[in-house]
Amino acid sequence: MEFIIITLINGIMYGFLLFMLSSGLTLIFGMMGILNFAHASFYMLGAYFAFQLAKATNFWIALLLAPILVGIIGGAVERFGLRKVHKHGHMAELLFTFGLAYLTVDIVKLIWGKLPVDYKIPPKLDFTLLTVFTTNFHMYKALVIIISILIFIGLFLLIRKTKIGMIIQAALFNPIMVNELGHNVSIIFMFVFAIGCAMAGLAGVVSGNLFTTDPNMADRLGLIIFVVVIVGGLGSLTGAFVASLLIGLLQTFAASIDLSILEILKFLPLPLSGLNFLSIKISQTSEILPFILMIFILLVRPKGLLGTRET
Amino acid sequence: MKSKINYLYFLIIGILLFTFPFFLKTNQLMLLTQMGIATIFALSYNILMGHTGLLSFGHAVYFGLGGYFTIHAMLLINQKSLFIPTPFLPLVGGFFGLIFGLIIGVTTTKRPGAVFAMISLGINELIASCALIFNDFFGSETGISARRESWLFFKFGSQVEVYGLILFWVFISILAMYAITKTPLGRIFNALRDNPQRTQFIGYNPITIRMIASCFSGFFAGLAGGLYAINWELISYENVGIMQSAFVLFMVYIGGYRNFLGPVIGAIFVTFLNFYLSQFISYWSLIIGIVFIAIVLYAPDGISGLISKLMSKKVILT
Repeated sequence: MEFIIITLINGIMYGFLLFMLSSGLTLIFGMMGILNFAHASFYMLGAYFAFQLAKATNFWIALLLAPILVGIIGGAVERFGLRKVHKHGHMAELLFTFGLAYLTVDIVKLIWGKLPVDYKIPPKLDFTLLTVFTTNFHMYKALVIIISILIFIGLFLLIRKTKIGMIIQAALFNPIMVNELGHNVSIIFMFVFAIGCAMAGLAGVVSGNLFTTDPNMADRLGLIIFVVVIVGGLGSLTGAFVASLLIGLLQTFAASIDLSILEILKFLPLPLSGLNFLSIKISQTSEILPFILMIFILLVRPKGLLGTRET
Repeated sequence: MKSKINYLYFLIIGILLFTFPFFLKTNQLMLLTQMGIATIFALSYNILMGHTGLLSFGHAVYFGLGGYFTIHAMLLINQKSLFIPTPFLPLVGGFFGLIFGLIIGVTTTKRPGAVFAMISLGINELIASCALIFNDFFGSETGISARRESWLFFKFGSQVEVYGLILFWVFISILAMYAITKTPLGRIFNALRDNPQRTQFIGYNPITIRMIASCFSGFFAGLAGGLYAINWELISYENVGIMQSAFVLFMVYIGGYRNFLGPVIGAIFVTFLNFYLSQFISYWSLIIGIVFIAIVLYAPDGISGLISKLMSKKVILT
């Protein structure tokens, strides 16, 4: 029971973090048709900026400034990079973001080194909020969950209730038509791209000290958020939300089960004697489970869980 | 007529390359061998990217798995439980590359464009993660090593003999892949790239064609992987990793994917940079990244595009 509750909370927190990243990715894809391979790089930049800012000032300023900085960089990338390669076609756009992702890792290594940096949870937040049975639940994790929920509500209100949100929704369906109607679609594109990057940056700020801040962090999460977007359905925000929670829970639960597949299958009357590869632990498979889920979804329902269109 | 001249060029360059061992050091031969392997790998990638218009981010899967199966075949040969002459070993890699091209093709080739790119990346990550889990087959982080066996009067002990073997396969592969572009099948690949709708109208199923392209591409990538395994007598999880996929993409794009020889130029260029820069600068991969971004932004046709632009200008001037 204790195990289930703790893992559930951790899984939901991880799922929310995934959603903070994947919502930006799916919005950008839905509007511009650009698959931003560099999305997780902005997440990494968020963590590193927060580390630097928190060292110079304090955590709260970092929490506020780092996402804004990342957003500005994101906007600049859209304005001066993506818009430039747009005329060469979709392939060039994909390649550009891919090259950017590759380059960011190298630049981060150059500036901050290859080893993890010492980005810690602020001591004021590092206390036990409540104890579930015997496991302590930290204040900081609660803060991460609260921030994620606030972001989620904010995003929902922005898209559903404001005029900009209406235009974004319209542009998701038909950007050319929206442009014809007299809205400046390229500014909106830049805005959405910047917002998406800022959210990725924010996810980096809050999770950089929870996990580790090192040059591999973008690679670790970058592909998972792609899986989230595919599983949820390309361009669908609700789908991204559902898939984020699904994959968050799936990975967290798998990572905390310390049994091997063989031990579980033992109870079934199957001839398993020669199958050595089944002796791997479930916790080891948590890395590959999202990808297996992705392939399964693609074979069964190529649109994704809540996707509406084929791409 | 023109293509006959092209074949003649191949032959001349081939004979020239076979004479190299007589006046090059082992170190330089190593570089040439690596260039040869990279050339096959890049050309196989270009079957997807340049000819069929499919942008794949997971090509290392075929290369790495081809290499792994070759290494396992070599281990079996070392234990005398299997007999394949060393020169034909790359075919083992090629065969398994083809099989995986078929299996993976089932999931990836349903749709082109961004979706294809994303799924290929996902599958690459899946295999790369598997490589660190299933230690029996992938040999954990140290990889798997085996010995090259001698065949007839070739010992395959020195770099010269390996160079000869690899050069032989490089030329067979280049000729085969060049020939494919001249067949009706190769033309249909191009048609699918340029106008999928019309290709469908004239009665070709795009999914089948993408599948065939994936198989061919997988075969040659697996062959390159097999050669890699023979050259180093070692293969490790890095060879199925995303980085390997990124490198082949960089090679092809920097060289220029619109020209048949573009990937060759790219492979030579990137391997050369890798070989020499990595000795002096620890951040050499940053340089490759910058070159790549610059090519994407300013010269989408790559080095071969720049060369042909220069050549055509010269023609106008004279």
